[in-house]
Amino acid sequence: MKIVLDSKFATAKDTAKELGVSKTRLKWLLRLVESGRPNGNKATHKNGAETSTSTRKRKNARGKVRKVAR
Amino acid sequence: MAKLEKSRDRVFLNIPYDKKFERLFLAYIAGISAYGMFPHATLEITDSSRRLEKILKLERSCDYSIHDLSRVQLDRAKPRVPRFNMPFELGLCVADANRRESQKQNWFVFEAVANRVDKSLSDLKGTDPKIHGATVRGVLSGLCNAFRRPGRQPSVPQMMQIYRSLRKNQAAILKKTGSDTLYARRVFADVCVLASSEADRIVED
Repeated sequence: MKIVLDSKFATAKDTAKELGVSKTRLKWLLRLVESGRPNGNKATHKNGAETSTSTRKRKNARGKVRKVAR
Repeated sequence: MAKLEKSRDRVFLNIPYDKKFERLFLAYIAGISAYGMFPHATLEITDSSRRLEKILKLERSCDYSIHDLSRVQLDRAKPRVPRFNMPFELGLCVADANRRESQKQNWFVFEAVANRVDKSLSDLKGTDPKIHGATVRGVLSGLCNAFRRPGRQPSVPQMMQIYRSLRKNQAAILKKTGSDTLYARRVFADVCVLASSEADRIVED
């Protein structure tokens, strides 16, 4: 037998409220989980645009530009 | 007319609190959170007075319950006895669910070994326990066989991703709480919040 769920999906905020976790602690937990996430090897420019910092990708990109220029 | 969504579901987790079970404990939390539900456990009950009444109250406040009956061995330390808490709490849940007509069959039994429950708790014959083989993947797959969430159904790899995040952050949480075990109220709450946060990000519509 399978139970079909039609309830709302619980967020971290909901769970914190349900289990009596303080706002300060919630913030710390969210920061903790954020800090552990890989950012996909991205660097942010001053204008907010993201670029890959992978050497191989940079080299590949340069190569493609040259080919197009020729 | 739009279908009204009911409030969040709560799951009562009835598991053994021992060191060897920690990985599966995190797996249950990861899996339950992946379905957007709140895990609850008797760890939340800190006051030992009238404990049984409080367990019953907590169990009644939950929509579903999961009972892991895999710890049937005798304890290594003397006196060498098996743990009766899990089958006892299962009995309470079954009796309570049968009393409440609308909420029948809202409990699930998990075991590590196939057919063992037929011997250890033969009264459960006819109930299909979910066999997890004492593995994380087994627990997550068992949860997938118990629940379905149309529109936001988590996959086992997604649940594994949540589980890995919990394992990764386990040390930081233990350090912050000053605890050396996961089976503490505050640690349990923190792990559940973390799992929820990851589930909300990973399991998308």
